[in-house]
Amino acid sequence: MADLLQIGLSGVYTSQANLATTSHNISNVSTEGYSRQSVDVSTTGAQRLSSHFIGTGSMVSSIDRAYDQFAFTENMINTTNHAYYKEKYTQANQMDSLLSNESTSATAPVINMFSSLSSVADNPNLLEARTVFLEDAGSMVNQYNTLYKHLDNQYKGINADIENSASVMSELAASIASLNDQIASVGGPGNGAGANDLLDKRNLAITELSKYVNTSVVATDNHMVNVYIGSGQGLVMGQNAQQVLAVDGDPDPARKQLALEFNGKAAVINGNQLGGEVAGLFNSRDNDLEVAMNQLGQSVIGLTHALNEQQKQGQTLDGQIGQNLFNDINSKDSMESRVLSHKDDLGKAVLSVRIDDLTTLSPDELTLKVTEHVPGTSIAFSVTNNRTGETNQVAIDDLATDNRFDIPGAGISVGIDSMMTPLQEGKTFTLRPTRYGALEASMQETNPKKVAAAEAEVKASGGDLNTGTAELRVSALVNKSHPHYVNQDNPLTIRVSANSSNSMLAYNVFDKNGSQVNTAELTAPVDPLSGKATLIAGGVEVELTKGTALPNDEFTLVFNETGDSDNRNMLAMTDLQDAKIMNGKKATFQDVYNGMISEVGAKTANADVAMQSASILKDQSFERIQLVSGVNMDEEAANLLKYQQYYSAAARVITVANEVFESILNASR
Amino acid sequence: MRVSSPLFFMRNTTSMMEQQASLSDKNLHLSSTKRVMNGSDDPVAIATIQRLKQDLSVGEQYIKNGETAKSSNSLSDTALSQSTHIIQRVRELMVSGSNGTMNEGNREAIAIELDGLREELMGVANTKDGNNQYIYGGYEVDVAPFQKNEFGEVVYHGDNGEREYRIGTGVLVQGNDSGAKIFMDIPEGNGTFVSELGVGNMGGGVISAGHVVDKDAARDFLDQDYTISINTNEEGPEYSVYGVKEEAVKGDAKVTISSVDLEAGGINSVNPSVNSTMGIQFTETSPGSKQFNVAINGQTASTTFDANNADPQLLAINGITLEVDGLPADGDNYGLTKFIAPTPYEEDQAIAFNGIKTQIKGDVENLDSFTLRQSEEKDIFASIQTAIDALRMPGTDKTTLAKQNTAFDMSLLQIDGALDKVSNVQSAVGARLRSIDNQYESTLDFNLTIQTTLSSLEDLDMAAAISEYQQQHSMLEVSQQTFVQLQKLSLFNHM
Repeated sequence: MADLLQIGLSGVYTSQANLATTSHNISNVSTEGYSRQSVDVSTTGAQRLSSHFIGTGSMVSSIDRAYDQFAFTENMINTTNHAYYKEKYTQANQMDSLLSNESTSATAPVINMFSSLSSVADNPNLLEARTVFLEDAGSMVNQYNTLYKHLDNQYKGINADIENSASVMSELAASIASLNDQIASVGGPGNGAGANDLLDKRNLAITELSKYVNTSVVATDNHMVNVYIGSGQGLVMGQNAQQVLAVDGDPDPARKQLALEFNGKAAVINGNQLGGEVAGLFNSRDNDLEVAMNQLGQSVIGLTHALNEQQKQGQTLDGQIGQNLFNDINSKDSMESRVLSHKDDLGKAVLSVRIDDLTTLSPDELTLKVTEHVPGTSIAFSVTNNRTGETNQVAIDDLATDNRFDIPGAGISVGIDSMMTPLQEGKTFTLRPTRYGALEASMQETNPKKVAAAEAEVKASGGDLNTGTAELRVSALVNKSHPHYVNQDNPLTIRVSANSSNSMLAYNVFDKNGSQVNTAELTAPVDPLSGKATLIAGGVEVELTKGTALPNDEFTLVFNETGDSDNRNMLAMTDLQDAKIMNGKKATFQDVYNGMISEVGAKTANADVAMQSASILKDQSFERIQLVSGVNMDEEAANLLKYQQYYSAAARVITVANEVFESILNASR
Repeated sequence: MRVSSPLFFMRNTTSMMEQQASLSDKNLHLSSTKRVMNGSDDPVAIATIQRLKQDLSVGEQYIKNGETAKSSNSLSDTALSQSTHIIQRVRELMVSGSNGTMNEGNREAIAIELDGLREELMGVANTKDGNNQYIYGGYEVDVAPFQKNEFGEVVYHGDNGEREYRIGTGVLVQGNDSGAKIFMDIPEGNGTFVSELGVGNMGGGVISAGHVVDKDAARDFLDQDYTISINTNEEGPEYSVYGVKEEAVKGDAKVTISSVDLEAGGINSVNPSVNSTMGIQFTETSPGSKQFNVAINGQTASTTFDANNADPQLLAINGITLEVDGLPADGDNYGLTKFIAPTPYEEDQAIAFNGIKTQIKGDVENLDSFTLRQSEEKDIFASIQTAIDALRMPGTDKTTLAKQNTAFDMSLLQIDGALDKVSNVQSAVGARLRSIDNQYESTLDFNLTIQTTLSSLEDLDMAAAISEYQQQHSMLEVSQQTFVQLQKLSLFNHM
């Protein structure tokens, strides 16, 4: 006969196990990543008694966790997606509220500046109006500086986040590897399956990792898993974890990149393809933030440069030619800050980017690559637009007289300021023509008298029959008491007599009767880097601003009636407000800024929608996990009651066994 | 289906948080009354909104510019009205001054009043605006544009600058007129010729203004100064007409015929026949000496012309006396043409030549001459001064009277020319004021349209927004209540 006591005892044991598991479930109801556990009870082997079997009780065969591999994988993917869009939205939203909010946007200060500019046009010799204009111009520039600083802070924030994500991912990888190790060592082959809580912990770590990057999991021996990130880079291999490193970008060290360590070398991985929050950071930085910084720069460069150029056409209250109101966008420092040299050992040179044409200037960045270089003679490059991928070939044929070449269709030219070691084929530079525009914008003029409201009293113009392309501009009225200083009745003519390989201009100056006024032939050197030259005639400095002058080209200097209350140059400045001189003569300065905030706004709105749908998907997959693995308190309460009763019943079996035994004892008494 | 307990809480809190976020967002838009606050609220509209705001600001600026332009034009309008009054009074006085019955005392009284009016007109011409700037100085607004020099002549210190204001898209309106245009550049005489009497006239003859009666005939003959010279012989006075024309002139001298003595010896060598021309040649004695030999038809004058002497000088050559003034250049050549051979003179007779007609009144004496000089430009102050000088001319003999009358006639013509100038400018100012007003109206309309568009793009539909807000609010309340109700339901409560 079966041992009733043993059967009762086995019932008590299994009930105890059930009660313990139920309690474990209740205690872990809010433990993150916890999977509901349940006891799998089976019968103990039966005793054969002649032709039949008598059961011997129950036993715990295993404790299982309620787990759905499919739901887990789906949740991982959705977590990655959601994290990507959430990051995109967070970053875009920050830019959106900064750039388009009424109080932080640059729109109002620009409008204010043009308003006060118009007041100067109304009262050209009123110092108060001029002072207000300079103040407003200053606050316009400040607004652009502030916007740049905010964007730059966000940029730095993103790079710091990228660095943090690298260390978090490394830690997660290490903890997955150590959990792999623990799981494998728990019970030898096959038994790791029982390590429910460790498995939950590992899944939690993997889910956490999937927030940062696209993660895929492949099971291996001993219930260990290999974890791959991005497009298949191995991060965890069994008990071994890789380090994710944040390394300096090339050519811009501030632009952090992620790398995996292979054989002691850091191999850079494309952050944009990693998925998850990391890709969100990279994408926001490379496609949104940098573009916005470039567009902001384009808008302020256009604005300040156009006003500067107009100012130089005019005359101040002091009777001098106007000088820059704002910073010179083509100062040496500015021009050189636009070129970044890649870290390669293919020679060293200082290059500069000069902005020549606002109409074709774009916010795009470019890559310049040396294709051929014969030192001292010629150099050729290929230029690729990083956004459109369009590639052009450019070259300088004679390095002795020319150190500058135009980039087709970009409104800029690149100068070779100096070359320390010869550039070799493959040497690469990145050009960022407008990146720092909003940072560098500053007021140059604080004296209200120096606003050039009037037209210049001496004007230069090229002859109709000129064969060269040179454009001349009166740049200074050096000596107004010069005997040949231009007046109403006495214009002067400059005639170019020779241009030796575009490095030295020779010229003579003639009065209205065609008599030469200079004794010896005059010369002006042409700067090989800037292509500029300064000519002098009748106490007036005339600057060759662009183009090439050829022999027999004529330029006349004529007198232009002006005075303190002349406002013609100021009117020309006010016209700039709605002049379509940007983006291929299709946009005003305001349009460039509007285009930027419109683009950022659209990106934000799109990221918001994408984030919300990703959020719903993520919630759904999480719910699916919870449906299977989550703890329901009512269920556990019912189980508690149920197993309590089973326990009592099993205990009762033991009492019965005792009573049965007693009856036998009594019978034999 | 099992619902896990954490999920139950999670769902409820997520839903409540979402509703709260939406409520807070609606609240933000409500409190700012703006539908579009950031670019993401409506990426398309935000660009239009910014552009409209700029347009609005530009429109407001146009209105401000218009106000400035209006005030300066109004000021000019007032000053020009004043000028008209003054000039009209000048005219009245001159008309009464030319009345031959006046005695010296009366004439002096008129001269004094004219002097006063001249000063008054100068004051008006030097009008300043609210910013203490002269309105008739062109671009030179900080110096008085009309100042007297040491000779008492009024000199213009401004320029011809005309300042413009932008009062609409592509609409510029002028804010000032240069004083030179109004007060200085007034044609002399009747705009074609100025009539003058010869300096040595002895008779009482006066000459009327020269008129062009036949434009076609006169076309090629308006570029010379004409002299009608009188010669008296036994049969009475005769007149002949000469013209002096610049042929090849680099210098700056004025050459007129003062008198022609047909009785003089050798007159034929310098007196061309009708419709033929002889040259008047200037030769500098030595370069830079400013001493010139003057010759007619190769006959050199006995004296040289001394350009160092600022006064006009008379040079007689074989009976023809030339009056030369200014600085000639070596080699200057003038053409001397005779148009009418000596013809008997009758008083009040019309004298016509080359399509030009004039008239001489009164008695003439031998060697008298009358000149029709090409009209130049003269300032109004000088014209008034000419009249004053004429009034103060001493003597009552017929020659003086003739000179006075001629000077008066010419001044009167110039005053009329000045009145024309002032009223022309004033009507231009009036037209500007009207166009400023028109532009003001249209800018207001334009801005109203922009405001409406802007409001429809940017502003929140308050009624809809408030009802949405309330709906959201009650939804949140419902969620909260259900959550509280549901979370009470637990089996553990019954154990």
